[in-house]
This record gives sequence, C-alpha cells and structure tokens, in this order.
Amino acid sequence: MGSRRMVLLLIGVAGFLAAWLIQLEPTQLFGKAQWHQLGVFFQAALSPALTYEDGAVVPEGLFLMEIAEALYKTLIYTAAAISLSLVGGLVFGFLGSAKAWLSLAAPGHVWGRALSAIALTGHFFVRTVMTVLRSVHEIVWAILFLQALGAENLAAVFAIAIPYSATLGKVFSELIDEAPRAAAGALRDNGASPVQVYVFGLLPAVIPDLLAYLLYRFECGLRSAAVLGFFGAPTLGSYLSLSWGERHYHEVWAYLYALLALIVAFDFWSGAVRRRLTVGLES
Amino acid sequence: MSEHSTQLEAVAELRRARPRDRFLRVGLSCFALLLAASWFTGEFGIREFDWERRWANCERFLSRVVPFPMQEHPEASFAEKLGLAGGWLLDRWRESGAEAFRYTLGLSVVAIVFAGVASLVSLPLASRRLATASPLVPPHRELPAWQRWLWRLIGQGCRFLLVLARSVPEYMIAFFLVVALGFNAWPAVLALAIHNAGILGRLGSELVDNMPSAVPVSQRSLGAGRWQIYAFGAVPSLFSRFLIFFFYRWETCVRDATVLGMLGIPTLGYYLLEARAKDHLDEMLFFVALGSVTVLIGDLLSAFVRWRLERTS
Amino acid sequence: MTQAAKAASDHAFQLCEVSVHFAELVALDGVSLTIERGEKVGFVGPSGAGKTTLLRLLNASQRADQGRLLVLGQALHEVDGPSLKRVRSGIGFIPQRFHLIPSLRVLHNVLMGRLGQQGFWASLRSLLFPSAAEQVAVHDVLARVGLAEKLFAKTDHLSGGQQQRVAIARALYQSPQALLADEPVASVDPTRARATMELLTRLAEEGELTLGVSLHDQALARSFLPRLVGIREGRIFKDAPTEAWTDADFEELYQLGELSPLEDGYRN
Repeated sequence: MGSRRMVLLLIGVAGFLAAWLIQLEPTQLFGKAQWHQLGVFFQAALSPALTYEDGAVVPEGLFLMEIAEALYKTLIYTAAAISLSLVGGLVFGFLGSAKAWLSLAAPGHVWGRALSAIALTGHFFVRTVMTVLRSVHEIVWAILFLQALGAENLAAVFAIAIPYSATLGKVFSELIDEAPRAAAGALRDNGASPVQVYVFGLLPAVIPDLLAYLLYRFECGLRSAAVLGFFGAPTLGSYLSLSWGERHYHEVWAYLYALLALIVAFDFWSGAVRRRLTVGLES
Repeated sequence: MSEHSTQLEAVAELRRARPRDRFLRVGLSCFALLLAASWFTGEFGIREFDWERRWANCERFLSRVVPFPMQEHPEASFAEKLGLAGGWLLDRWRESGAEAFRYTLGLSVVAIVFAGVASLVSLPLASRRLATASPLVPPHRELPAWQRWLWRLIGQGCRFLLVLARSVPEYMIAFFLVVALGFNAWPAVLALAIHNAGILGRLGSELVDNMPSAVPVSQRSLGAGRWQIYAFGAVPSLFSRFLIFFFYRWETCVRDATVLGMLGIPTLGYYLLEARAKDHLDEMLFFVALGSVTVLIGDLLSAFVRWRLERTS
Repeated sequence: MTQAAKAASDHAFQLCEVSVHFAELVALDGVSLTIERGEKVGFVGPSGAGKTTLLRLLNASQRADQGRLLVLGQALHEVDGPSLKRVRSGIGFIPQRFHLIPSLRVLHNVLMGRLGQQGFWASLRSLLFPSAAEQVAVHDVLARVGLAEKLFAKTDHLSGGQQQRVAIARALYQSPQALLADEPVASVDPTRARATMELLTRLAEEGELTLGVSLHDQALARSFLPRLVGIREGRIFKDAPTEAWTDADFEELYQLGELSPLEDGYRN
C-alpha cells in the first residue's frame, strides 16, 4: 500500500510540476470571447450538413459524394501505407528477432553458423534503426518529404509507412522472440534447416497475434491518414480544413461524423476478428 | 488404383467438412484485397513523376539542411567544420531548443495525468462487470426494470463515449480547441487527454473484466457496493498493470505533443514550422532531430519504469 | 530399408564410452550401448538419470562431449550439415509434450515431419498447397494411429491423447528407420498408457522400425519391451533382456540415492 501511494504521489507531483513548467493556468480556460465561436461550432454538431452550405454557389446534392470521396481517399491511403508497413514490418521483425533463430540454428550446420554471424551483427543495428525511424512522427515525415520532393501523393503514404514499419517491426520481433520455442525445437530435431525452423516453427504460432496487431495499426492509420490531409495529402483532413476555413461548421461536422463512423465500424469489425482469432488459441 | 481413389474421396470428404470460420475468411480476404487494390486505384501513379525535377529538389534540400556556418565556409577543414556545427547547435539549443524541449515534455506529462484520472473515473462505469444493476453476483430479489435498463444505458453509453474519444484524432480535437482557447497549452493538453482517456479506459476496463473474480465476489457478498469493490478490490490488484499502460501511453503522448505544436502551441512542432516558414532548413532539421531525441528520452524513461513495474508485479 | 542397406550396417545405434556434460553437471558418464536394427528397447530409471539426454543423443540432437557415437551407420563426430540433417530426418522423435503448433491444422503439423527431406521452397509449397498425393499420404499415416477423421481438425481442438497421436503421426510421416519416444506415458491414466505403448510397439513391428522408449513405469516396460536399459546417475545400471530383470533390480534402480539435480528433458 505504501509503495502504491508513493507512486501516485510522485505522478501527482510530476503533473503539477509539469503544469507549472508550461504555465498552465485554469484562468486561461475562462473569460474568452472565443468561447462563443466554439459554441457556434458545437451547435452545428446537432445538424451536420447534407448539402453544401453555400448551395447558391455550388450545385446541391453533390456534398454527400464529396464525403464519400473523402472517406475513399482516406481508406486508400491507409491501405497503401499499411500494405507497405506490413512488408517493412516483416523484414524489420525478421531481422530484429534474429536472436530467436540464433538459438535454433542446427549445431554444426554450415548455414547456421554463417547466418548466426550475420544475425548477431545486424541485430543491434536494426533495432537502433527501428527506434530512430519510430521516433519521428508521421506528420514530420510528411513535412520532410514535402520539402525534399515537393507535393507528391506517394509521399504521404511513405510518411505513414516509415514509422509504422518500425513500430510493426518492433512488435513483430517481440512476438517472435516470446513465441514458444518448443515446437520449433522439435522441427529442428526432425532435421529442418534454420530457415525452415523459423518459417514453419516460429511464424505460424505468432500469426494470430500479428494479424490482430496489424488490424489495430490499420485503425491508427486511418486517423493518421485523415490528419495528413492538413499537410497536403488529399485525404479527409484536407476536405475538413477547407470547410473549416470557410466557417462551414455543418460541413465540418458531417466530415467528422463520417470519419468517426468509418473508424468505429472498423473498430467493431476488428474487435470481432480479434476475438475469433484468440478464441481458437485458448480452447 | 480403386483403393487410391476411395482414399482421395475420403480426403475430399474430410476437406469439405473441415471446420472453418466464414466470418474470418471472408473478412480477412476482403481486408487483404483492400490492401492490394489500393495500389491499382491510380492514386499513386508514378507515370507523371518528374524524376529530374524531384532529384533537383532533393539535392537542393540536402545542401541546405547542413548547418548554416558550414554552408558559409565550404573551404574549412573537417575539424573546423565540426567546431562550427557544434557552436551552431549550442546556439540553437540556447535560443529556443531548450524551451521547446521543456515545453513538449511538460505538456505530455500534464496530458497523461489528466487522461489517467479521467479514465480511472470512467472505468467502472464502462466495465461490463461493474456497470450492471447487480454487479458480480445475481440479485437477491427481482430488480425493477428501470434499474436494469438504466445500468445498461450507463454501461453501453460509457463504452461508446470511450470509443468516440479514442476515435477522433487528437490533432483534430486540438485544431478545433485552439480557436476557443488560444495558443496556450490547453488545447493540446485537452486533446491528448481526451484521446488517451479513451484508450486507457478501454484497456483498463478490459483489465477489470478479465481479473480473477474471487476477491471482488467475496467483497460483494460481504455487502460492498460497486465503488467499494472498484476502489478496494479492483484498483489495488490491477494497479501496476494499469501503470504499465499509463507509461506506454505517455510515450505516445510525447510523440504526439511534438507535432501538436504545429497548431501554434509552443512545442517542438511550432519551432519546426517556424523554421520552415523562414526557409531555414538547417534549423528545421535541428528541430526534427530534437523531436526525435525527446521521443527517445521518453521511450527510455517509460521502458525503464515499465521494466521496474513488471519486475515487481 | 532394403536388405542390402540393413546388411551394410546392422547396428541402428552404437555408443562407445560417450559422456555429456552440462556446465559442471555430468548428464551421461561413459555410456556404451549397441542397439540393433528392429530392436525394441526401453530406457528405465529415476528422473534426472539421463534418459532424455540419451534419447537426444540417439536423435543426433545432442552432441557428445566424449566418446564415439554412430547413428544409422553414420559416425556423428565427423558429420557435416547435410548428412546431419539426413540422420535426423531418418529418426522419428516424439517429444514428451508433443511440441505441435496449436494454431495449425493436423494436416500441416504432420506435413512438417518431412521438412528435413525437403528444400525450403519445396516445403513451403507443400505446406501452403499440399498436393492430393500428400494429403492422402498424411491421411494414411493418421489412419495408422487411428486419427484419420481428424485430418483437417485444428490441432488445439484435440485432446491431449489425440495430440500425442498427431506427434506420432508426424514422426511416422518422416518414413523413419527408428522411432524414439520420450516419456510417452508420463502423466497419463493407466488405460491410455497401455494404449500408447501398444500403438508404439505395433507401429514399430509393422514398419520394422527400431524403437526406443524412455519410461518410468516398470510394469509397462516389462510387458511391452523385450530389452531394458536401466540408467542411474548418468551410467548404465543394467542392460539385459527383460526376462533377466528381477524385482530386486528395479528396487535398486529406483532407490533414492544422491541423485543429480539435473532437469530431465527440454528446458520448457
């Protein structure tokens, strides 16, 4: 009990210290005239737009198509980014988990020894690279690409795919390192080569977890892709910020609801998939 | 030959009858198809890709991210260049780097503390086990229908609110809040707190729903109410595992805090965009690198604390 | 398995003064042993005596620190990678805890028995798209252990006894010359223990395989295996036809002494 209180106290003190450090004051929350504008914005939440708000300028009826397009683009960008990350993540995961198959290399096997040497040297290098790639936010990657290459659709995909590959690689390699080794050992004893042991003995055991995590990253990817719209990608964020700029708050809410519906729907589906994947393992 | 064909028949029969999960097969096939199809939409075509111009852009970019004094003295020796770069780095750090670093870390800590408190309060209301009319044990007598319905409403409603909270990208929340609250830390703190409260609430309520039931059930049969069970049964036994989630989310808070500055809140992202607006690409890269270092420090701290917690729990 | 191949080397296994150490612990100490092809041998003794280490030596999974070891006519201390692979794939090893991959179907777990005889791409093809012939072959092997109808079942949906038979089928699918089973009847009820021993001896006789089984239960050992090797504290205590073993021998074998604290088996 004593140590728990101590931890809570420490966290509380850290919170206050940090609040003081960034000059966070409750008074900043009140007495702002701008609350009125936010009030107007939140009132619009009750009546999201179904047509363009300045119908006089833009023909009516096309707005729903625009929402559909925004969702479609967001989905496509996420899918492209996640498919790249899956490839990258598998490569990183394989190299990062090299330790797992070091222990499985057949004693006396020429291949095994050569691979061990490569794996050992590569292991720490790959882990470091993954950590660095992961530490740069996808928005920052997007800005770097924008600056270095100019506006480019593919850049947004890479901006998401780079840190996501590293994150997936980290999780994959941890899953593989923690996977039960016994089955793999049995395959080795039956004469399987190190590569066979890795691919058939270790990978199948982690596929359900790996898939569950991939689905979770896809959900994160939807959010990231939508936000990259604020930074030049043609995804939902770009539509939303246009409407926001023109103070068409009803339109903003329509986009927001559409995004939420997409993410929540995906969340429910992937939750059901996850449950079914893990049920098979437990029973 | 005929024996062989009857065997083939038997195998085919077993194959037809094999257990399979249609929902998983169809769902995951569609998902795989989506991943592959995204590349054939024409959205990312490199047909019109102008390699020459891109390469020129890239070269220009690379030449200008070198620290400014090094650009000015191309004739300097390597050692001199190192000295120049070192001095330049120190200047940047003193000028605004240190301040941005402090602000980013501070902001992330405040945000995660808010998120932690909010999720701890909402957790029992979102738990499938606790947010029922008669938590953990069947009621002694028939409960009035309105009570059962009320608790169902509370449970479902809270779970849905948590889903919503974690579904909205934190960047968008902050984007809206900046209008009302101005360019101080609040929009970022609130955005991060809302998003992470949603995630911590979900992870936490899963912990509560999966915990062994012996202790809370016995507490319940001793007459403890749901809040008592939560505070004296669930929280103590799940405390360290919840803390592990807490620090894991803090890591991502640090990462997100760096970019929320792009909305005008003085974290690293703010200075990054400012340098870009001034077209000081070397300075921009400095803030990218500093952001990376900040995130790494957060990672290390969090990994250390989680390691300690896992060892003790 | 032709007569000619048998004549070329009659011994399935031959150990000459073999010792194995794990750090400071001596697991096996100067063991000499010859097992002819087609023999059925039981390894008996208290836990920690070195039975599993001995079985792993015979399967070429464990290096001998001293002494000479011949497995299927192959001298193991001078063997290179490919022939080691060949030796291993010539011996079906049934681990105590089966070591199957729970999330896969029975078909795939059995198919993995042939990994040692295939290159990587061939094995990938066979596991992803098993041919009709392969499916029939696996079905056949499963029929021999009485599990034919479970060909496409998920392995983790099977009972412990059924999983053990899948592990036996995987070993059989290697078309091995010898079967080695590590404690196949530890921690199972007596009826199932008898059934397992019956299955193993029947399979060995049908396929003219050499059989090596480590076990605790002296009654089972005596009723199923014609030759018993008693092991105690890393040394051979007695190696004789089963008729020559007396109750007094068993009593002495299992007498509590200064047992080595070494864990028996895989560290799992």
